[in-house]
Parts: sequence; structure tokens; C-alpha cells
Amino acid sequence: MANPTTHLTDLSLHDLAIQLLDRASGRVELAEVYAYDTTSTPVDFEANRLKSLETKDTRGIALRVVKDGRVGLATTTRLRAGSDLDQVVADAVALSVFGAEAKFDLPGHIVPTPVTIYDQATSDLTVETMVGLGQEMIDHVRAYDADILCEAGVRRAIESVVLVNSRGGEGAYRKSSYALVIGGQLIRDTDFLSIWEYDTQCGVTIDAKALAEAAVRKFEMAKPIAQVRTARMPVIFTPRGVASVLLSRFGVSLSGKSVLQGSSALSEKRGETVFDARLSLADDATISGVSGAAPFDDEGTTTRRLELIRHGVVDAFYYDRQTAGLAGTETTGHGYRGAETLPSPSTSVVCIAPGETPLSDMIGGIEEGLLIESMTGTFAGNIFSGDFSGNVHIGFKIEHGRIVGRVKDTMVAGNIFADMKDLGGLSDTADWVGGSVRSPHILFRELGVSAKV
Amino acid sequence: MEMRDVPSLRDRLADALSGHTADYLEIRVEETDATTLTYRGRSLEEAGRTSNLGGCVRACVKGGWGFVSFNSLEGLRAKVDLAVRQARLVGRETTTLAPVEPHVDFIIPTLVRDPLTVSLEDKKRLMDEYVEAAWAQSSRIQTTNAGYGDARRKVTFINSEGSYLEQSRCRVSARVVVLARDGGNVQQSRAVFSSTSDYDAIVGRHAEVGAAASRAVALLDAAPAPGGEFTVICDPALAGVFAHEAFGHLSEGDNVYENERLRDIMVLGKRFGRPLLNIADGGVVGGQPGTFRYDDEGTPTQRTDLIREGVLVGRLHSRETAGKMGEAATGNARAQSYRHAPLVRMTNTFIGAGDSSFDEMVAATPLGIFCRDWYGGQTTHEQFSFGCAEAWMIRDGKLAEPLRGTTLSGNLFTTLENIDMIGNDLVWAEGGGTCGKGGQSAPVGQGSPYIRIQNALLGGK
Repeated sequence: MANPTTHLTDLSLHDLAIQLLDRASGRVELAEVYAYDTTSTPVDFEANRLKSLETKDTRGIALRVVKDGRVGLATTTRLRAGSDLDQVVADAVALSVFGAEAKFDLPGHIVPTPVTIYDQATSDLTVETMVGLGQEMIDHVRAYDADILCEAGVRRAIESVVLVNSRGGEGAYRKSSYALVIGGQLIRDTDFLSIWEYDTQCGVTIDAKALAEAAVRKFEMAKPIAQVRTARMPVIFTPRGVASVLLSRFGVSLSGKSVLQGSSALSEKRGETVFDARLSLADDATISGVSGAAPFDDEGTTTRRLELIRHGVVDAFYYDRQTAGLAGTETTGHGYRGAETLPSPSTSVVCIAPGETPLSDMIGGIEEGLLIESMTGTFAGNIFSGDFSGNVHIGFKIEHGRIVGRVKDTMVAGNIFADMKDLGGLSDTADWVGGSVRSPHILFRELGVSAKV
Repeated sequence: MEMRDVPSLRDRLADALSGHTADYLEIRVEETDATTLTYRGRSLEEAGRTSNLGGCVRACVKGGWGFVSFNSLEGLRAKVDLAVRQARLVGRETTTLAPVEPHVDFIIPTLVRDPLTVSLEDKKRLMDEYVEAAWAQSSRIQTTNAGYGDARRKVTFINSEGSYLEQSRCRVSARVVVLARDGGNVQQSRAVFSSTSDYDAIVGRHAEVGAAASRAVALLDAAPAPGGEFTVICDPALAGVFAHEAFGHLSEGDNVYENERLRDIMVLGKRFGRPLLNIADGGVVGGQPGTFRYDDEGTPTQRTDLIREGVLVGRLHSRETAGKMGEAATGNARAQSYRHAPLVRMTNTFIGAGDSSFDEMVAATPLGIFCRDWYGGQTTHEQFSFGCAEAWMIRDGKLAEPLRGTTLSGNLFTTLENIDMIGNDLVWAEGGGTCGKGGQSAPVGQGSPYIRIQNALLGGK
């Protein structure tokens, strides 16, 4: 019998998860405990100098139960004594009365995909080293232009996850992540230019100097300001532009949940050619060293590479267990969760296959067009429709095959279904954007561009 | 809410702070309890309950900050020591915090009908009715996404200057998003109800849910909005977002205080708009999502005028940004939770009422676009953009054909000048918005009358 006065503070994450599972198991048909422990140590620089050092420890636990055929959820970070765990069980059971009918089972064995996501070198980083790296990046950018007001971040996080369920399934992993960000603001009259470069890896494998140099190159490219007219013209999205503007539209359209509900425009298009034959998009949590990777998803399904769009054809949708059960199909290992929510279909690491066009040829072939790195306002609007529209934040004008300067007061609008049927091309290399997207440059033959006159 | 630790917490916190060697120290402890019901289509998909207990220590030594957050309240003393050690590694200058009188206060919200006294059965029945009210509108409704949530949050604050504060807050909300579909054409609209004091405020609003469903269906037949420059009339909900994005963020002291060029641009007394324009912010505004008595540094909230008659007259501050700029703290240091150090940010931001009626504004617009309701906004300080949910052409001074939602964009230095008519009725957007900044999100209030903007840039084909 579990003791309600047990002190939880000193328990390992595994023992904590088992304690909660034991308390729940006898009272319900199915129980699953997801427990996490994260320590992050961000080193942040503001206005060219070290601003703060932080240590953030977070420990929490989530309990999903099935009782009388219905799903209940309770989560907590209030972990003092055994009575707190009893409260979690009571809450999950009480809420199951109102919960959805369970259409899933849990795995009796959790089989991890062999993927390397922990690097001891990341754990071993000293604060002094991290401070030094941040300063080095700032010095590099300010050596280029001392008028740039720099911000930088060197961030390290170590995350432990334990997943146990009443079918006997048990899994655990540890993930390290290391992130660098360098950027700054350059103000001239009323022109505000903000440039940011960032990267995230599991290991200490990011070249700080190269990252700072990339920021410098972008500042240099952005110095001249170019004129734009309202017209339809070719537009290239850089890998970052693809990640920040286009992928959310693909994400909702390919989610098994949107498909099940009929809110995805692709609901009845599986097996059909919807996009340009050169467009292939996969989700792959099995790539080592990438922070979006994991050996199993948040409900214990082994992760695998899943082709979602193959040569323009909608090949698959991604599912968690419950959604797959409702849709009469199998989970694809995409049940991911927030700290306070049930698993839900989500992508992990999205990879768009490169094409065959060298980037220089792509730019060289454009008489008048844009190269877009980031936009603002694109999260707004109706993403189910595939529409995207927003203000170009960092974008460049192309004239006669050359980049001639940065654009301002320029809006771009398009639709992933209408405008990606026949693309101008995909670049022959794909680049990482943080630890969860890898994409080539993508050229749209023509998008609507609106400019302030 | 269960708070078994309360009798001893104050003493434990005071003890952890005693004998420290930092210039400034504070501890926050936070407890939250929340219940959510989430619907996909007609069925309840997720019923969940969440409780949180956590805390943080923030220390300042010679202008450098150390911050430690945790879930276990054991060993507080060691956590204070770590925060001070970290601050000491950073600090190279002097600590300059604007002075704030120490306060000891206990804030408990006055609730008309406490959501915790309502059974979960009743909450679910209400949401079932709202979902059905949406589906009943049309056979062209594809699906609905609905959610109910209530939350209690108690924050205990103590600092090394003698302040001790306990503040509790409550929030209840219901939302129904309706998707209508015709082939590949998918359109959406939504109804949001929210209160900080009364469960009954979200009850009995079936007609508004039905109206949202009708709007989504109507959008199926609306044409896409055109792109280019137009005279635009914004409804109060959209204008409130505009005030937040177009101007509010640049009035935040942390953007300005260490940025000499921006200080020159954002100098008090500079003209940004026509004399009819007034913009203010304040946590003291009653009953809004950004309403609270003390901010997360223990500074009492106030109303801060930012633009008065078109001229920049004030800005929002934490103790640090105010101290460095020789101004007074304004109660705008806010943290998302105990996992975060406070940032300077807006509370409830609003445009003051003018003297035009909506009908007069439309009648005075030969060709333009009326934009209604919002889907978020974003700023890069100089340039901003924000999305509207639905729109209508204005032709010859009359509302004409309906248009789909679109994205509006503008430039801080020209767009405020281009506001040439302001409505005579200030309306607060129900439920306000969630503002994201520096990796933290916070609930904010947004209020405005109808406004007319000349030469606004719309994204379109």
C-alpha cells in the first residue's frame, strides 16, 4: 500500500512515475504516466553585454487513464507528498466520466528506435565557456559594425523523460539540447533592421563564429533598400522562410486529426497528385543529433520515418493512437503532448527533399522577384485554407538575376495548394532550420506582391 | 484551492532571504489549479485537470541578474545562494532600480459566481449546447473546435525591501471556433466569452455562437480581399490589436533603455499622431485579462498615458528600465509564470474615444474596406501586421460586398499619423488576447473605438 505521506522530492523520476502508476492501476482499465524533468541553463546577452544567468528546473507528471471506457487526464508539478499523487489519480478518474470514448490500447513493450539525442559534452559545458561563446559571437558582429546593438544567447537544456503504462510498457530517454542565437538591431533614421541567426543541436556541434558570420553577411545584404511594385512576380522562400511561413499550413493539412474532422483540404486527396512532382515531404524523428528527434513518441510508439508527400502525391497522414483508433487506422508514432495535455498528432522533424536547381541558377533566372527569409502576420488568417499572407520582415529584391537590396512595406500572399502545383523549382541543397526542419529553397513561379507606393 | 503550506510559507520565504549579500532579492511562489474541456466536432475530446506548484528566486548584484526556478520548495536557502552567485558572475556595473514603497497586501478577487462552485456536469452541458447551436446554423458547417477553461492562480511575492504580497486571480472562458467548407474552400469564425469574476458571464450566449457559425458560412461566398493600399475602418476588437502591435510594444521601456538610437526616436514630446489620438495602458483598468493590483516585482499598477493628443507622453517600465531612464516604475513588469523572470510588457492597452459614429465614418469613405475581428498580430517595432477575420468593401459611403479575412500591415512612423477618425465608443475585446514576447506569453486587455486609417496596406492577390 502506498503511503500518502511519502516525500516525493528525493525520488528518482522513474520511481516517481512508478509510484503514480501503482496508485492508479487498480482503479482503472488503463493507466499511463508521462514524467519529465528538465534543467535548462540559458546565458543571455543584451545590449552587447552579459545580462543574466539562469537555472531552471522543472519536474512534472501527467496521468492518462481509461475508466469505464473513457479517457481522463490530470497533470501536476505539485509534487510534495504521496497525497499529491493520490489527488492526481482522483482528478483523472473524476474527469474520465466526461472524457472521450477510448479507441486505443497502450504498448506492452516500448521499443526505442536507436537514435542519439544525448551528448555528454553538452552536459559538461561550463557556464564560463558559454559566456565566452556569447561574447565571441557579439565581438564578431560588432567588429563588422559597432552600431549594431547585439543580443546573444547560449542555451543548454537536459531533459529526462520516463513513460510507463499499466500494460507493462516502460521507456525512458535523456535528451540534451544546445542552442546558439546571435543577432541585433541596426537603426538608421527610422529604419529598424533586426537580423537573427540561430541553431539548435543535441551536441556542442554549432560553429559560433560561422553563425555570427552568417548574421554579418545578412546585415551586409540588407544594407541597401530596394523598391518594389505591386505585381505578381516570382518569389523564392529560403529554408527559414519555408519553415516559418509554409510548414504550419502543411502541418494542419496532413494531420490525421484534421483529416478525421474533415477540416483538412487534403481529407479526400490521399493518393492524388496535389503538388508539384518535385515536392516530397517526410517526417523523421530518427535522425541522430537533432533536437526534434526521439526514440519513441509520447505514448510509447516507436518512431520511424514517414513519407507524407511523395513526388507531389499525398501519401500519408500522421496519427497518434486515439485519432488512429477513431479513423480506423494505425498510429504512425506521432503522439506528442504538452506538459498539460493529452497526446495529439504532431510532427517531429520535417524534411523536404532537395531538388535539382543550384540556388545561384534559381536567383540568376529571375528578372524581377523576391527572396523571402521571414514574414510577420502569417500566423493569422485561415491556415486550413492553405492561404498565407503577411508583411515581409527580412526579404530581398532580385533584379536581372541579382539580389539588389532589402524590401520594406511589402506584403506577399499565396496559397500552398494553388501555388505549389507547379513550382519554379527546389534548390539542390536542403538546410537545417533549428532542430526540427530541413528544407531547400523553394521557388514559386508567381505570387501576389503588394507594395506601399 | 488547497493551500496547506500557507501558514508557514511567509516565514520560510523570509528566512530564505535573510542575511543575503545581493543588492536586491525576490522570491515568487505560484500555485495554479485549472480545468479544461476540449471539443473536436460535436464530441468532448479531452477533459483535463492541471495543478502547479513552483517558485523562483531572482537576485541582482551590480546590475547583473541571476534567476533560479524550481518546483520543489525544499532547500530554498540554497536556491537563493545559487541565484546570488549567478548574479555576481554577471554584475559589472551598478544596480539601479526605480524606488517602490514596500507593500504588504493580500488580494482576493471578489467573485460574483465562482466557477469552482459550478459542477463539471453543468459546464459540459453548457458547452454541448454551444456546440449544437453552431451546428444548427447550416449544413455547410464542416466542424467546430470548442473549449472551456477555468483557472485559479495564487502568487506569493516577497522581496528584500520589505514587500510581502499574496495575490489570487480567477479566469473563466469558453470559445467556439466554427469551420465551414465548400469543396476546397474552408472558412472559419469564432465566438469567445470570458470573465475574471463571474461564471454567469459566459452563460446564455447561444445566439452569439449561432452568429459566429453564420459568419463562417457567409465567408464561403465572400471574395478574397484585394491587395494594395486602402482606407480601412477597423472595428474595436481589431483596432485594439492595432494599438497593441502598432505602438504598444515600442513604448515598452526594455526596448528603449539601452538603445540610444531608439531613445532618440522615442523621445517624450515627439508627435506620432493627429491631435485626436490618445493611447494608454494600465493594470488598474477593471475586469480585463491584464488587470492586477501589483506587478511581478511588487510595483502597484496604474494607468499610464502613452500618447496624449497625438504626442508621446509616457512609456511602460519595470523597476530596472525606469531606474536606468530616470523615470518612475509603472507596474508593467510581468512574468508568465514562476519559470520566468519578469519582462516589461503591456497590461490593458486602449485607444481613447473620439467623436465620430461608425455610420459617419463609413459615410465619409468613398472607397475603402471595413475590417472586423482579429486573428492575432505581430511587430518588428518599425513594421507591424495584424490579421482580420472578415471584411466588407465600402463603396460610395456604404457597406458593399463581403470579403474574406486578410492581413493588414503598416509602419509605425506613418500609420499612426494616418488615423484620421476615431469612434465615440470605447469597447474592450472580450477575452482580450495573449501577447507573446521573449519566449513568454501573458494575457492582455485590448480596447478601442472604431478607427479609420488612411493608406493602410492589405496583403492580397
